[in-house]
Amino acid sequence: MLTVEAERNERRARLAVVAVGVGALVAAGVYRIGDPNAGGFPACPLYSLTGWLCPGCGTQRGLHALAHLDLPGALAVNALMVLTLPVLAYAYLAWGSRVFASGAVPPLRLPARAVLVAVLCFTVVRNLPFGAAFAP
Amino acid sequence: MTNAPPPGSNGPDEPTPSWGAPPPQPPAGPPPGSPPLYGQQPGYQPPGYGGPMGPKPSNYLVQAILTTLFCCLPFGIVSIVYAAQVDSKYNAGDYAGALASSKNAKTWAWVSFGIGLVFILGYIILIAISASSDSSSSYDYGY
Repeated sequence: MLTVEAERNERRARLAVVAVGVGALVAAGVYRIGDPNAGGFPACPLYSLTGWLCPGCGTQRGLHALAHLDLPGALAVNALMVLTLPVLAYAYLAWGSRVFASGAVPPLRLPARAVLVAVLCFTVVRNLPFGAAFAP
Repeated sequence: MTNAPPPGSNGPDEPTPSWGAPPPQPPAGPPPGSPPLYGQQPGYQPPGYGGPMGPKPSNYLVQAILTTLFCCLPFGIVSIVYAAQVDSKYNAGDYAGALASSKNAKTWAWVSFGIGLVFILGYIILIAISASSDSSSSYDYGY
């Protein structure tokens, strides 16, 4: 009973790891082929409604730049997203190793409050006149 | 031989204090050591009294970052706020509060993800409809 449930949970966890990996690859392919600068990609609803830049604005253009190995271009549209990607990649590695290899990679210990402060500062600054460097 | 239990006394109805100095339990709480039943949270002590702290609950910070920076909707920030609460409450000894914040962080990460997904799917459907109704307009982007 318990082992059946544990087995099912493990299978689900493995599926989730694979699904997220495949999703990331598909996203990379989408932004490699398509170009959000040319339109045809969904625009941020918050920006469309209010004109405010949210912390995710510029992410699609940034991913497009990264898919074409243009790091400065990606940093120019959403620097926080670019800086976050290595962290997310590590978190994915740790997650995958926990599910598949019982934890060869130690899990990520991120200070949540520092992340919150960084995201809030980034959001405020990129909406201010002098924060154009952080705006897409 | 002499300290063998007399017959008939093998029904331990009362919880025996099996460890040295148990923390003061709430009156209606389960006996110490029993698994939490009925969905009760194990840390039902006021904070800072050395109550039974479980392992730190997940703060879902990675999910919150993902939905904040990759979903184009700012609800992920709510999730990051709760993620920070999980850490601060757990470090302050408030295990029940940390569990509640963990639940909220998870909920808001999913809300943000769901709204983003609905928006993107709706957008794709709109594009497909407009492309099938008139093939001449607005679908000649750089693919």
